[in-house]
Amino acid sequence: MTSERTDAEPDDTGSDPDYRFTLANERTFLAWFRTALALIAGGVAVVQLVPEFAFPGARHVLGVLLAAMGGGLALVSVRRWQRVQTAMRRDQDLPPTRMPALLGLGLAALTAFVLVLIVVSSVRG
Amino acid sequence: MAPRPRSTGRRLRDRPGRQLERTELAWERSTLSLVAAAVLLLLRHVEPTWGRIALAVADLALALLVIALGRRRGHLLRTRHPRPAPGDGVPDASREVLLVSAGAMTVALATAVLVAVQR
Repeated sequence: MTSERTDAEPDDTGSDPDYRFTLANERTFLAWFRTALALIAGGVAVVQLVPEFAFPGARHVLGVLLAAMGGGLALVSVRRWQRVQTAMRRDQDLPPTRMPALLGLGLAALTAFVLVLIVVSSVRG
Repeated sequence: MAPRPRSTGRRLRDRPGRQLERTELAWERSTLSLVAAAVLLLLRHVEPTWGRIALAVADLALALLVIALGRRRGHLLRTRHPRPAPGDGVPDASREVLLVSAGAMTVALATAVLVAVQR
């Protein structure tokens, strides 16, 4: 089994895992990466397309939060990819992750924030 | 009764082409949000103009980087590991993962700054 290491390798202990697992880990990272990019694009869309709420600047706060979530997700997805790749190289159990729960909670909080803005905007007219 | 198709001697799930193809498609799909954000920025005229255009260019540059890295990786795997067998290893995508994530974090920061200063 040949092994081609690069200077960017986070951990070269153990052995190369089955190519299917390596590619599956890569596709999982890309799925998180696409989610991060969608959040960033959402930050742009909120300011570009959504009309002003009752609170001046609320759209900008929402847009910044979305972009920040996207940037944070891009960061932690790299760490997740590295940890999984290292676990596979060492033939260990895959580490658990709270990323789905945290992302869900973050989106739920943003949704609640938007709902409050909509209701207040409707009441104020 | 119709004759059964001949076995190829290799189970469908062991064929490497599907894995590589799916991975390449995953790289290409990753650019859609970036292109959409760039289009939004270019179509809607919101101040500051220079910031809006700079961010759109950054989004498109990152999209091109992702496509280039995905194609390069696909080419690398197809030429150096054309028919990996179950159990064989291939180089992981350390460099590609770090590059695109750094790009995404940069774009996220630029987006947050532009959104914060937009009127």
